[in-house]
Amino acid sequence: MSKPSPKVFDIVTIGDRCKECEICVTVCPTKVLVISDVMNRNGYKVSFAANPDKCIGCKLCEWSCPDFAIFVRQGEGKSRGLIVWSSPEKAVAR
Amino acid sequence: MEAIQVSVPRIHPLDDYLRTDRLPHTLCPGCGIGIALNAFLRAVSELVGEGRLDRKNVLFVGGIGCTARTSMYTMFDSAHVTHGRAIPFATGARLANPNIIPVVFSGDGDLAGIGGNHLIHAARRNMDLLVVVINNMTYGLTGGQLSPTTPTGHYTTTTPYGNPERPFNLIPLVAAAGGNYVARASITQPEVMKSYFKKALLKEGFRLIEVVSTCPENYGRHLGYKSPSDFYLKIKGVVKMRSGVKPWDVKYDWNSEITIGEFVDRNEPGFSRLLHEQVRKVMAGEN
Repeated sequence: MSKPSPKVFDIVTIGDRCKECEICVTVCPTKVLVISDVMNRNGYKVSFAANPDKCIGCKLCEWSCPDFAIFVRQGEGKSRGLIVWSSPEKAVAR
Repeated sequence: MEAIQVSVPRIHPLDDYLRTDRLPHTLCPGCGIGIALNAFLRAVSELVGEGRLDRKNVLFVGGIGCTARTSMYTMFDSAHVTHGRAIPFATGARLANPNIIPVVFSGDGDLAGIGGNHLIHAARRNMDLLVVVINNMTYGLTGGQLSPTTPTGHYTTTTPYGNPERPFNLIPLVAAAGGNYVARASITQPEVMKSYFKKALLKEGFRLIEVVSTCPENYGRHLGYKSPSDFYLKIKGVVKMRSGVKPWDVKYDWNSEITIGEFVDRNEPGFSRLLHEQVRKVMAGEN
């Protein structure tokens, strides 16, 4: 029985849109999210799923994000935290 | 960080309903308006997915204010009109074309302050509109002045010694004026808010949904909330969900309770249907 576990999620942050308001960090019931060290062009440090294994898929972060910057989707194999960018030069790593 | 990857810009589940080339939007970090817009777009996308709503029929109207600026980011037929006159604009559009579903998405300063009379009279006529009042308790766009819904005693730019006035409680006001559906939601319960939007979008007559929201930048700072999350948690503590409450028992008190829930749900005929029936009768010579 090697069926994929249903409790595997990709927590995706859209780096261009995040404004570092920390609401996703506040609402997450299992403390998956943190503010990362990666900065976007507007000077905001984007949030990042540092403990993706703890994610239960409640999507409270997705529903509560005022900037449409984070969403949770079904993953494969292992839970992952991702930051995506519309173009590679939009990220300013600190 | 190895987690960085490059992808196409339209990746979020709601990107079909957003003008993504204009994002990130102009609202401040942590603003509750974005959460309300998120829930509204989710309600529309679910109804479109179930085949109960045609997105081409939705007309999205905003007046002036932070909330009304969301009409620039939504992928509907949208209009950004003069201060307080979002309801008259939507009324005219609905009477000209009875197929469209006008949604007035604006703030408390725009709808309860400047356009207060339009709100009352649209409710009295049972005009076929969905009015969403995002109540952030201040005039946020212009710098955080006192609005009709600012609770008593609060510090704002124009009341530096505390607000001496009593606030407007919109739920009993619109219920008494005759709205078909009156509910209050909070940004801290987005799933409940979405279910109200979903129900109200398909109803006839005047529907009002007040959303208790935050203004962390121009209002929260005067109240001593240092971050958007502090203000969010305060709202989460003060709102209480109640069912079966009469509209006149609904509380709007910052220190004890802001009641949320559905308070009026009637099925009286809307103005547009009555008017078009009358026009048909007159044209047929029956009247």
